[in-house]
Amino acid sequence: MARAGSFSMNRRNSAWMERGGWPWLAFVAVAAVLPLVLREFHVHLLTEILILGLFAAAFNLLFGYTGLLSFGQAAYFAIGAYACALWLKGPWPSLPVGLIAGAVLAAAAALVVGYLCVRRDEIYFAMVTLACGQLIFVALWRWREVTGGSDGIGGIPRPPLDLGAWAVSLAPTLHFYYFTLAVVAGALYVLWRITRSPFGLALRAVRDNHRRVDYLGLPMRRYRLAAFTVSGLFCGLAGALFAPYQGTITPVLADWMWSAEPVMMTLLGGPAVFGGPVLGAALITLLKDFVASETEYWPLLVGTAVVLLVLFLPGGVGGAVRDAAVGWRAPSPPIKAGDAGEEAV
Amino acid sequence: MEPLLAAHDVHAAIGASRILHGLSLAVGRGEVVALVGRNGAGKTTALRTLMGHVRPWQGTVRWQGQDITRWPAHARARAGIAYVPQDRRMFANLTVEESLEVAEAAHPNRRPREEIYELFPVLAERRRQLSGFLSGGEQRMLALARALVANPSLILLDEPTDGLAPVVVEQLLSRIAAVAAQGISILLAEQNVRFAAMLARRGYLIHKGAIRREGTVEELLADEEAAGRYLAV
Repeated sequence: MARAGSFSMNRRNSAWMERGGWPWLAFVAVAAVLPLVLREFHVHLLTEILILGLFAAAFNLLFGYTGLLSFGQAAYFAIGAYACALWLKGPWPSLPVGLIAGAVLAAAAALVVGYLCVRRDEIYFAMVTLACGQLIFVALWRWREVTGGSDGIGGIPRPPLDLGAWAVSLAPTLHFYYFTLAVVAGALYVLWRITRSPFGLALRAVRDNHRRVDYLGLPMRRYRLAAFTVSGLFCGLAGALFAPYQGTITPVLADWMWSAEPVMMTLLGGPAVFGGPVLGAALITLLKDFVASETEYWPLLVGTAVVLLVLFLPGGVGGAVRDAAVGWRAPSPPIKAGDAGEEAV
Repeated sequence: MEPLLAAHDVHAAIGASRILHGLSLAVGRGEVVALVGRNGAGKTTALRTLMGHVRPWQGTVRWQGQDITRWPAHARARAGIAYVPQDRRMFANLTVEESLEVAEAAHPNRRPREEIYELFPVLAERRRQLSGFLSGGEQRMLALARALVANPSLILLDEPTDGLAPVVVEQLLSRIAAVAAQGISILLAEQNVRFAAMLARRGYLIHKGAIRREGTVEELLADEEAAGRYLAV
């Protein structure tokens, strides 16, 4: 598979700005400036959006790019969260180490589970990922001595970030927000490069016709397994950020209800656009927050919004934005809504 | 001389239905061989078994003398066998260029893209289009081009002209002939014997999952009894 990694990178590199560099700059600029004009509570909310956006984007590597609907990504999110929480409560608390530990452990779990799952397609794949996810949920629930059972782990500290001569406290909301932004932006950039690499192209071929990829000499299952592992890695990283963000974690993070979150966010934001899941995470989080402060029936309203959007905007909000942008630049849009032919950020 | 590909007494089933009943055939180096038979005779299953997508429960497949009966499809593709299936919509959401690029990923000694475009100028014109929006003939050319990227020694070609207009068939025929002229072996599954005769010297007549006749295409065409019994001519 390493062989698949080298060619045509330079051509893409040179046209970086044309091929999606502007949305990246806009995203980082807005995310960097926005907290300066918001109240602390909204900065807190923005941090959550970033973490969930990474979670949804990692899910979408499987869904939008490889054509696999996983209903168990919460398990890797939770493994990342627990691993990071346990590390932070240990004798050498360090957030970077905790993040790496969470991501690597989640990837290892995804590698094992993925080995079982990638043999199945469509609904069967979804069911096997769901079942394996619930197994991990039960394990977190029952393994009291380590995970705290149903009580979970509380009092997760945010140790200061050690930058050599200078230690930055991450306790203030704004500091933790910028730390999260740096990690999430870096992770999203890596994910984006993956989708643009020959490996990402092979994943899209698997999505379009998984039975035919073998004929090209590409071992289809190994590509699926690699996608599953990479997705697990970034879900784990999102979970690892979530533990110190929230301060308390419980097994609910591994439950299938939590697995449904990135599914909804991706459908709402648009799976065919790289930034779609992040946009979906923002919309759902904001919708939940604003509607929940008005009525206790907020799931009804959020659910209605998702149904309407799926019915009338099948490419998601991100797809609609992309189509509008394409239409604005070139009078006749060459790309059909919902097709992942030429992804924008 | 050792044939490039040889199947011996291959029995294979798809699900519960047995399709191949002791199929044996051989393709030599640089040879174009026709596999003719009616719809449902087992042509596609034969090709899929040779490619490794169907596991035979009896019989052997040899590639340059080596037993590859248990090899998975991607290993056979890397060894030099290419398969162009009958359904042409392969990667509908990839552009023409991306379709070729993804094929290049698996093969270190790939054929340069300029050579492919030289052979199929229409694909060069359409390189930025999604392959799902190409015409039927163009999609067939793309499928053939994608197979060529790997520099294969043998191409398994499943009914390339099925459902195409006569003018388009002619264009495709000239491209296949150009590929064959480069010394690449072709095993061509066809219902239409006359079309197969334009490309192949030698042929097999398949019926109910086994070879019933073998010979030069002229012999197969002349064999009226066989034609009446096994072919819809």
